[in-house]
Amino acid sequence: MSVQHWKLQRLSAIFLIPIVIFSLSYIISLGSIPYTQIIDDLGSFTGFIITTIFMGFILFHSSMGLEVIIEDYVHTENLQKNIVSLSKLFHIISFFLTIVILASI
Amino acid sequence: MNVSKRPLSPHLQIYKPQLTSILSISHRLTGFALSILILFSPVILYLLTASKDTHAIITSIFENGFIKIVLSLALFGMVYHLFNGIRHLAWDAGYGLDIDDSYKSGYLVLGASIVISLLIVFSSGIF
Repeated sequence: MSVQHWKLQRLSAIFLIPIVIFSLSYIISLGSIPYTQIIDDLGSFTGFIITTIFMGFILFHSSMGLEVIIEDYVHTENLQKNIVSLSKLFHIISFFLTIVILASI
Repeated sequence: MNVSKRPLSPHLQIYKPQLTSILSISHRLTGFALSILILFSPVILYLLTASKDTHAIITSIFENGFIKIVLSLALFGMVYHLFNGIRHLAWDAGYGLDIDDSYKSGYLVLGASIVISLLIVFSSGIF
């Protein structure tokens, strides 16, 4: 189980290298891109696919990373399990919100 | 035995700070901060795309000097986590594990993160 967690964390990291390099300059300039341009970019099929892949991989990697951090610093067994579950729930909600927002553009 | 009272290892208060240990904890800190940031990103995505008015809220926030600095630091955190993550992947594959190589790759990651972050910040028109 832990070995699989370790492997998936690294695998998602490898996939994230090109995804992050490709998206970073766009994300950082989001505040200066005109509204119509953003709607054109993110409302397109390509924009939908790229943003969904970006958020999917990043949220998956983030959820696994937070899980390890929580396991290292929260030592009460029940509390640890509850916080990990809550963290996973927040990541899933965040992913579905992203899809709903993109689909409603 | 109360498990939660057990001390954390390494004992950070008496552990001499070194480049390698600082970069290691920085990887975790930037990862944690980026996690929190990405969890809130749907709110930003919603405001950016919902209407012209909500979009204007984001652009006006992004014009604030303090926010620009926070954003630049977040960018640095992301670039650093990316480069140091590649360093970790190299270690996992068995490369660069001795002390000398760890220091060299550590300085390389730190230098590259600063240079690349500055390049992105100044070429993206944030400032």
